[in-house]
Amino acid sequence: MDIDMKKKAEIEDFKFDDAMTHILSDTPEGGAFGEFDDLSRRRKINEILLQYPLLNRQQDVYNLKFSDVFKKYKFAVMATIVAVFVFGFYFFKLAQPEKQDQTHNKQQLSIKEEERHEENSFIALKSSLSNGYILPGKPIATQKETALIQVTTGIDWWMGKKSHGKIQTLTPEKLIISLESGESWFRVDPRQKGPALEVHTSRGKIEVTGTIFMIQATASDTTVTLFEGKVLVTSKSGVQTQMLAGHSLQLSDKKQIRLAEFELQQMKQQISELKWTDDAPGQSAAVSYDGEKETEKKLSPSSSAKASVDNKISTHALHTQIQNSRKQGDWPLVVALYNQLIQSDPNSEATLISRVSLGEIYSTKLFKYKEALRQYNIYINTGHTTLLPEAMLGKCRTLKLLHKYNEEKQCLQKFVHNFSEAIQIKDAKKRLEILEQASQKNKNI
Amino acid sequence: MKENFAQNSSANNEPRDIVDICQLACTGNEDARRKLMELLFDRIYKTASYLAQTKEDAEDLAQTACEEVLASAGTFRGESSIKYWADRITLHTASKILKKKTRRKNIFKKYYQSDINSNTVDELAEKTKIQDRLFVLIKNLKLNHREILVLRYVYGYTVSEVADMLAIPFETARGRLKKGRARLKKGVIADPVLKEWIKEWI
Repeated sequence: MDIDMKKKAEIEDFKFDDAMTHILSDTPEGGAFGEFDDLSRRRKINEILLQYPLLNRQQDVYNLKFSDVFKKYKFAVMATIVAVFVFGFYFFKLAQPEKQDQTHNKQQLSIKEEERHEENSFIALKSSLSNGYILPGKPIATQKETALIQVTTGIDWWMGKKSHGKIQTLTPEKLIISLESGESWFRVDPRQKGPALEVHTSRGKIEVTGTIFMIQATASDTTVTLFEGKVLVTSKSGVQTQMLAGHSLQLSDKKQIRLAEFELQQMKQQISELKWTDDAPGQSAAVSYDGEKETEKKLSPSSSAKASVDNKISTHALHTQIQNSRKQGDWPLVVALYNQLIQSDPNSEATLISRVSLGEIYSTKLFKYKEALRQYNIYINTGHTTLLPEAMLGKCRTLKLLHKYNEEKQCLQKFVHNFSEAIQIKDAKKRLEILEQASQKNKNI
Repeated sequence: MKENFAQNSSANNEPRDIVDICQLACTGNEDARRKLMELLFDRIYKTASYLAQTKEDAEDLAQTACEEVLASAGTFRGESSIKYWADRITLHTASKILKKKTRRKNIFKKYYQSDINSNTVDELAEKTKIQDRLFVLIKNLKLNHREILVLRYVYGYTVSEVADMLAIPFETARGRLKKGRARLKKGVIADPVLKEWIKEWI
C-alpha cells in the first residue's frame, strides 16, 4: 500500500511538472511582466552599452600582461623589493650569534690545546719551588687539581681547575699576580702587615686591601666577585670602580651587579670549602718541604684529615645546595647531591631520612619507579621509624605505578594494620577496598 | 514563443561565429557588443523577471546581469550553449542582489509585520490569465525554490544541469525542487482558478 501511495505521488508530481512546463515555457519575451515593446528594449540595450567605459576598465583587468601589471604597480613592487632586503638584512644579523658560537668553540679548542702545555707548566711549578716559595716570573698552571698557594704571610691564593697565572712581582711592599685564565680566589688578611696585593688580568687590575674575593679570568674578559671587604678595580682603559661586598663586576661591562641571595649562599659555601692555610695547616703547597715527593704529597692533601674536615663542611654545604637546587627544580642535581650525602655518611639519621625524599623525587619528578622503590625499601629495612608511614605510603604508590597490584595490596594492608591513626589512613583504606573488589572480580571470572 | 529545450542544453556546443562575437565583444568592438546584447537581452530579462519580485528589481537585475555578461564575454569558449552560459550568469547575479533585498525585506517584515499572503491574494484578484497567476505564486516563493522552478519549468533544464548551474550538489537541487514544487502545488490548489485548471492535468 505504501509503495502504491508513493508511486501515485510520483506520478502526480510528473503530471504537475508537465502542466507547469507546458504553461510556463510559452511565455512572452518580457517574461513575467508582459511583453517588451521594441522601443523600450532598444533603450535598455543602449543604456547598458553606454556604460561600457566602466566595463572596459574591468575587462582590462582580465587581459593585463605582466609588463602592464608592473607599470601599474611599479611603486608597490619596488617597495616590496626594498622591504625584502631590509628584513633579510635584519634576520641575517640576528643569525650572527651562530658565528659567535663558532668563535666560542674555537676558544674551547684553543683551551684544549693549551692543556698540553699545562703539564709542562705544572712541572715548572714543582721545579720552581725552593725554600717553600714560588719563584716570581714562573708560570703556574693547574689541570684537574686545584692548588692553594700561600704566596706570602697573610695572602692566600687558591687556584681552581684549569687555571693559568704567575707571580709577576714580589717585594715587601707589593705583590703583583698576573692571572691569565681560570678561576682564582684570594684571601688577604688585613691584620697581617704584608705587601699590597694587585691582581692583573687581560682586562684590568684589582687592588686589594683586606678581603676575600674571586676572579674569573678568560682570554677575553674578567669577572671579579667580592665576598667581603673592598677592592678597587681599574680597567685597562683607566676606569676605576670601587667594588662593594656581595657584588660582581665584569670588566667589559663596568657595572657592578648585586648577587642574588642564593648566589651569595653558593659563594659562602664555596669559600667554606676552600682550605685556607690557617684552616688546614700543613695542607698547602707552599709550606716548606724538602723534596719533590713531599711536594706531591702536600699538593694532594692527606685523606684522613681531609675526610674529617670535608665531612663537617660538606654535609652542611650539601644540604644548602640541595635546598637551592630544589628551589630551582633541578631534580637530577638534587638526586646527585642526595647520593653524595648518602655516600659521605651512610648511617646518619639525616642520610636515612634523605632516602625517603630521594624515593619521592625518583617517583614523582624523574619517574624512575624502580629506583624509588629501592630507596623506600632500604629505608623501611633499616628499621628507622621517623618517616616510616611516609615511606610505606610512598612504596604503595610506586607499586601502583609499576602495576604491581598484589604487592601494593599487601603493602597497604601492613600500613592500615600498623598506622591506623595516620593522617593518610582514609585514602589507604579506600585504595585497599578498590584492590580487594578488583581481586574478587578476577577470581569470579 | 515556446522555448526550444534542445537549444538550452549545456551539452550543445555553440557555432564558431557566436564564440567570435564574444571574443570581439570583450575587445571592445561596438558591433559585437550590440549583437551579443540583441542575442541575450530578452533571455536575461525574462529570467530576471521570474527571479525578481517586482518590476524594478527585475530591471535592476537584468541590467546588472547584462553588464556581467559583457564583462565576462571573453570567458565564453563555446563549450556550452550561449543561453546556458547567460542563464548561469543571471542566476549568480540574482543570488548576489536579490538575497540582500530579501534580507532587507525580511527585516522590514519583522519590524512592520507586513503580510505577504494578503498581497498575493490582491494580486491574484487582478490577474485572469493562468500564467499571470502562476507568476504571482512563483514570485512569492523563496529565492532558492524560485531559481530551480524557473530553470526547470521555464527553460526545461534537467536537475543535474540546474545543480551544475547553481553550483550545488545534485541531491540538494533535487530536494529544493521537491520542496518548491510542493509549495507551488499548495498555492495552486488554494487558488480556485488554478485548481480548476490543474485538474485537467492531474
